[in-house]
Amino acid sequence: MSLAPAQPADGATPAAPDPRPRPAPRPLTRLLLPAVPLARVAWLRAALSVFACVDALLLTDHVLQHTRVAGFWAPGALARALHVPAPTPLLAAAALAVLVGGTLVLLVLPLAGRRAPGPAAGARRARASRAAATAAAAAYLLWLLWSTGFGYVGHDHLAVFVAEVVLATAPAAGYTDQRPSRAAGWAVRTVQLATVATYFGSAVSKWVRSGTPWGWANGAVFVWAVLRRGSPLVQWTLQVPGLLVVGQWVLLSMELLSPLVLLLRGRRLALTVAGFLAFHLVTFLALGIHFLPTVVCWLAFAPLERLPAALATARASRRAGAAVTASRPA
Amino acid sequence: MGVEQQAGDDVGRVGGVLRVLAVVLGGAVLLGGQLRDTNDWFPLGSLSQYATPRSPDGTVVALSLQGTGVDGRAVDVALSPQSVGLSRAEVESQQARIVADPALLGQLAATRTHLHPHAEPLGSLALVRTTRRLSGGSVVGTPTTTDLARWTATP
Repeated sequence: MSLAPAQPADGATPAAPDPRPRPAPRPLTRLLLPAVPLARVAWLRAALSVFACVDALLLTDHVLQHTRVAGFWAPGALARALHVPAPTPLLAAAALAVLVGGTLVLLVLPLAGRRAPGPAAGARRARASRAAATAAAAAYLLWLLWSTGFGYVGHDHLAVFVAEVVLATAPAAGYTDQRPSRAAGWAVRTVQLATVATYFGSAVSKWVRSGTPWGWANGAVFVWAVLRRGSPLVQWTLQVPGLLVVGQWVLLSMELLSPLVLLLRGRRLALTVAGFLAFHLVTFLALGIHFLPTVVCWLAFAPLERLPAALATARASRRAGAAVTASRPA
Repeated sequence: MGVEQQAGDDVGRVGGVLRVLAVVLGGAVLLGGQLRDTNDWFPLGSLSQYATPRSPDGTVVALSLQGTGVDGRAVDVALSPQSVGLSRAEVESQQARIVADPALLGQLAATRTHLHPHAEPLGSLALVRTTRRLSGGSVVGTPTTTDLARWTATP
């Protein structure tokens, strides 16, 4: 990967270069605060902000119905500590407005760069974009507390909740800003850790509830799941309970080994992430469980900072292709 | 990655220590959430979806709602947020409260009326448990149903 140092395209003013040799970072720093290009945080923030809108409007829109059943409001520890009230139609509409409005500002601001170029204007845009993202994230977190405050807590929102919090701490960043940043690296690494912890933690939970890991894997959880909410595609599996037990062993092994993802790079990492995404596709088709809030957090493992260059290359090759076609004699 | 050898030290010593502590603390709370098996600590609470072991020779239970019209005829009432404001999982987790105070079902009936003003009015609404028996991981016998709680509209 080629990363140009300290020359932001639309980020903050670059710091003066420090001629002194730097000591090599400690292992813990390398592990938890790797320097990653700021652009990666900018893209991740934008992607998760868009997802937050999709989530609130399509996946957790039950908050709108929750506003009618205040008698069932059973807030968790965090909602109680923050004195979050039960949702009302007005509060829910206000949170949605901030979420969608903040996300639109976040997405539209970089486009304004074409009218007012230059590092100073770029820095202002990046700061405003970050402020909009933070406001949208706060509204989304409130929305999630309302979504989970009526007795059922789906564990697919752990990583995205953590992501919204840590990304708010990352510096202002432009989409083409390739300057390295440890603050950005910590945010990205923490999203990765939270994503992996979702799987590993659920294996621990199975262990705790069963007494032993094999107690869960040899049971009939998948039969139970298919009976309760299985799609027509998987009803046949009820005739082959042994196959479902094998599936339980595969899932448990995948969850227990999930931290190894943090050690992978390149093609192996891509294939492993594809494996996890395929698992979620299967559970969606089989049980209607999409796990999208966790799925979207796998983006933290992708080199998103390469997107502008990849898009530019694709555009250039399309133009070159069009030119060759035009220059051919009819 | 090459960037690790470059600049990018935009985190001071204190900031670095705080960030490392936040990760360690978050991880510890998440682990504690699993060991205590509590949903109360969301987002760092129990990741217990589908974690409860199910015996291949046990039972599978599911809750549903059964309504009757004002004339006593059965009326289908879906147990979903779009229908009554709450999902099946939410009602299952608050089952004990509803059994102790069946008037809460009246709130679900009122929500249904609000969300579906043209739906047939309810004379009563019951929380019903359906139980299916397993043997060797396969379903055997016929399902049984039990009324857990019932709310009746006051005329």
